[in-house]
Amino acid sequence: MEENKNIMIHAEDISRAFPVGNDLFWGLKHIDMDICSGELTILKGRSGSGKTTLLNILSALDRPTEGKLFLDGQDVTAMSDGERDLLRRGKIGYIYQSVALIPMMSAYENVEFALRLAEKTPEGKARLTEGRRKRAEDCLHMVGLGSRMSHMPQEMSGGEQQRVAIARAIASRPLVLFADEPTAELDTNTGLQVVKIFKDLCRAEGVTIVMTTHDTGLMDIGDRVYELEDGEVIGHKYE
Amino acid sequence: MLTYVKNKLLKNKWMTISLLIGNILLISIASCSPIYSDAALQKLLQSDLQKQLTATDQYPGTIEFRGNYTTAGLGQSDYSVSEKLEALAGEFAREVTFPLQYTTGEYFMSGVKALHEGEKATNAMSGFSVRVDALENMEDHVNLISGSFPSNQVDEDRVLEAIVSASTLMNFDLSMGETLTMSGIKTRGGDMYYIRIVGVFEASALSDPYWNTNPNLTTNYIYTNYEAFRDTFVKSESSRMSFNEAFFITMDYTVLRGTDVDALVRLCDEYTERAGELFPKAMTVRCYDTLKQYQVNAEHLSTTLLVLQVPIFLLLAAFIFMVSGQMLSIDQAEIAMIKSRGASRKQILTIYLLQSSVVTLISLAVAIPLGFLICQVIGSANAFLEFVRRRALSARMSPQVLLYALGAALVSVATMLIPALSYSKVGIVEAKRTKHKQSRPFWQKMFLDVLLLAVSLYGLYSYNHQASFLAEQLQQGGSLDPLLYMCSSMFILGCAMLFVRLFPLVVKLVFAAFKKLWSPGLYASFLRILRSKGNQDFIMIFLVLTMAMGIFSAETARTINSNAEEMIRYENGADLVLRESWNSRQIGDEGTSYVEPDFRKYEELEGAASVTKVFLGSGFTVSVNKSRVKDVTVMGIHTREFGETAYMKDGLLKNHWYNYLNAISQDPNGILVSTAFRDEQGLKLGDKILYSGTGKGSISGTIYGFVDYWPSLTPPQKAADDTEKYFIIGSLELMQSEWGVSPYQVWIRNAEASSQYIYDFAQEKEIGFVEFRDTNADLIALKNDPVFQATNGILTVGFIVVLLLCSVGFLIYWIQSIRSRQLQFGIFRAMGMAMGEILGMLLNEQIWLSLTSILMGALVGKLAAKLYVPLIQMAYSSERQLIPLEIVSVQSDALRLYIVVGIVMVLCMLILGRLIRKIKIAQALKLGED
Repeated sequence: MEENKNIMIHAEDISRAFPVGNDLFWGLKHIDMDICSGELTILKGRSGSGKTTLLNILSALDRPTEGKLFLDGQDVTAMSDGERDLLRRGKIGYIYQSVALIPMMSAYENVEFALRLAEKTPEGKARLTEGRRKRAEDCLHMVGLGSRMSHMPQEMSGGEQQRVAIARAIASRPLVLFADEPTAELDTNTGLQVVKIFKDLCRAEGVTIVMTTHDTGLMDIGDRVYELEDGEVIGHKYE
Repeated sequence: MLTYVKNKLLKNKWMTISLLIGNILLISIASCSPIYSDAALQKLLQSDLQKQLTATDQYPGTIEFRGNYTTAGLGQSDYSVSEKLEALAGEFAREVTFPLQYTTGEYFMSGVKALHEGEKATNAMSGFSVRVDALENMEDHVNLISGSFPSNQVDEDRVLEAIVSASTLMNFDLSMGETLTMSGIKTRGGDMYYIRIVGVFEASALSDPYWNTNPNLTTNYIYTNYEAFRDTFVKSESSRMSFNEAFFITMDYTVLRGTDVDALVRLCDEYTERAGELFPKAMTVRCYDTLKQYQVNAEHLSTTLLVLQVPIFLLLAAFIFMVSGQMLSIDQAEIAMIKSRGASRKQILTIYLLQSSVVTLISLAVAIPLGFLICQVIGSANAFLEFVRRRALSARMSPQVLLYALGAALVSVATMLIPALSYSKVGIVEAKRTKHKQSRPFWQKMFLDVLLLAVSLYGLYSYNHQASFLAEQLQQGGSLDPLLYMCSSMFILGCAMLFVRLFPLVVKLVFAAFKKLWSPGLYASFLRILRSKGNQDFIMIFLVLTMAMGIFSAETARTINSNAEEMIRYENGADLVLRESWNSRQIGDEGTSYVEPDFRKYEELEGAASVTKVFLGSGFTVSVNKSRVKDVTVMGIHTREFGETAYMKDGLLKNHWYNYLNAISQDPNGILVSTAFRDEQGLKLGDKILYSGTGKGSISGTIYGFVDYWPSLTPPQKAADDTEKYFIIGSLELMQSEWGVSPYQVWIRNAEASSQYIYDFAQEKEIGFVEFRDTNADLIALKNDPVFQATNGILTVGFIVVLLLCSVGFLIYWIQSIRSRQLQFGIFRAMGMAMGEILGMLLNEQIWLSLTSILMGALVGKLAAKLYVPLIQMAYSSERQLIPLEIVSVQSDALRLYIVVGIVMVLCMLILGRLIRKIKIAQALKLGED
């Protein structure tokens, strides 16, 4: 039951405003949300509904204008920039819509770089028991790119790059994985493969995953679905 | 399309401003070259012509045609030849294209016998000798003291009227109205002519260029009317006499411009040849040597300006290319998109041609006036990075200035278009495909760096082997080969490119050696340094070039100035070297006795810090080893005062020169001799020699030292011939006691920098010096020399341009680099890298890319100076480089560069830090979605 699950992320009255000329545009309005540990939570809605804005706040990439955010029991909104950096480094993985691999690093180096960063935090160091090299190779094998480790991003297709990004995001065994439209630039089959990886991560490693999508085919695969419209949560479904 | 181009330029306003800076500097420096040449050489030309007037007391703007006719068979007896000379002179006067002051004809008969009125000739030598002269338009240039001007008619009694100067009147005891019998001027039938004195004159103004001889001082000239003389003795066949003719074409030399010189010289050469066919050396151009020297100076200056500017042009072209390339890389996506929509390559190039033209046109409007300002800056250069207030050069616009400016503008447009040629080929598919492709640059594949180094080093080797031949050529007025300057630029560029080629290997080594120690930020930074090419290589080459050229310019200028100044100081020996005229009398067979002027007056001079007597004589004979060495120079000094007064550069002798003075001061017979005595005569320290002069007894000298250099004396290894190889320095007291007092020089060290006191003193005491050297004046003349001025000015301007380009180029590259990596920084920040770590990455890149390039540039600049400056310096040497060349580097020059670069780097880091802090991670990540 819902009440028995640990709440990994608790968002309380989150609002976000953006200056437009002399006015303020409210991209998010009074969002209350709980995301439980080990679940795949989907944020769905049309383009411009505020999904990405909410994801950026939940993942400590952005600060809310109003409201509070707790992640793994810590008040993220009260943290300094340095504390937020450490949080992202040690506990959070991020997959971007635009893939965003580091162009001068190979697939292996992109994944290994995330591990270099994570190792510098106590939590990251604690979780990485098998060494960077093995972990990076395992993650790339996990996403089916074991034979492409030395290839540079520009030598890969969009789908392959996205899989490298997934490997990079999960390599440090983050507590929470945020994925912003991870399948938007992929074909249907590859998209389904990605979602399957996510489900496996949730089940097998207890990773909490929060994902945005406007792909209607994927909206029902999550454990929890929040629907957004015009910056507000208009629906919440729990499977 | 103009609106589109305007919007493009405004969108990248900082890049546009940088492009404008580069263009304006390129065009202004190019156009300042003819402006400065014209102005500086004009100043020099007028100065030289004025000096000629002062020295010769003859108007330099006059050209003379001289001929004669004789009835007696000696000289030219064909009258038509004389007529042709007159016609030639007239033709020449019409050909000269600038204002003439006068065209004056003169006829005269020299050595004509005249008898006073009432006197009779007893023999052929009776009477007094006069010169019967006739000057055209003389009435306009004299004042009559008494009487009237002579008539233009000869009366039936063969009487011509004439006027004389007061000197002539008194010399021959003539009286007004007296009729002289000209026994030397007779008709065919033997009837004499007569000259009646009708007036006494004086010249209206002796400074009038009309006068070639001071008429007031002529004591035997009788001036008849020009037409009367000509019609009677020249034109008329029946009464033609032997005569001399001269035609003077007097140009106003004060309006002569440098641009007129070549045409004038050609004209003079042509007419000299033609006149020479009529009479030997018929034509004399008084200022011919000055004009020829001007041509030599002009060529020297033009070449010097051009070659000094080449490195600056290269740098500016590289800067324009870099900025243009940056702008195009920003536009690449847009270009590719336009191409994919069907635009042809020609259309895309047209857009960029229009853009380049707009930038260049705006630059032209600013650059030409700036060129005039730079000309004045060059004109006020006193030394490297040193300026003084001088009378402004009279710079003016000329077609050549426009030509140079347009030429530079075309180069600029072409340079801006070069990157567009490659970008315009690429469509959208290929743009995306090749976006991250790294291929080796063209110059690396073709080994251009190795080629440049090979050519430049071969050039160095070749020039070094021909150094003495080149020096001789330069002494004869040639210019230094521009290729030599190009070699130094090629060397610097080759070193920069080789450094960039080898740089990744060094970085890889360091990266691999300490791989385990690198933080994530440094790790990412090293990977970026190793794997990013293109613009990174370019900025590194650019930084090496700017630093190297800055250091090279500074050392070249300092060396040239310092060595030229040291040469003057060495050649003169002291601040002032002077010798009065000594009264003397012959004493039978015993020789000459001199009256020594009062020396105390020099010792009492307030402006003199110390004064000493120096005897300098040549043609002495030395007896050594049973042989005699002739033509030895002997210098007699008072050792202590000489040491206090003379100047000798440190390091020329093995020991300090005071040690040598101290050595000979202990022994009245102690002498120092030139090393030629040791090397060629086998003498050693302690050996005794005898030296004597004509009419002077022998003095025994004990050798206390061998010297190559001594104030004002030619070193043996630089001796032009044997007479300069041998010199002796000994006690003046001993020489005077043995040989008596002979004229000596007075050497003075100034208490203050100025030597004005000696000029005031000489004027007050009415002393005329037969020998006078003022080191201060010589140094000022050196600094005013157009070539030196141009060198100092251009190198200083170049140095400043280097500083400016370095700063701007540096900022542009880094700011652009950050802007293009916003997405990357967003990713790093999203992954949890702290701001400090990202700044650490940038700092690491700055250190490796910028700092190493700057240090390398300084090293390359110093090396280039060490290799090439000695050869370049030859062009500025005086006739012989007597003292060894020393490369001069002033720490403050390099320090200035480092400080500016350091400030720029710090400023850059501050700007970059601010830019990075402003990056919103979420916004940066969205960039990837584009």
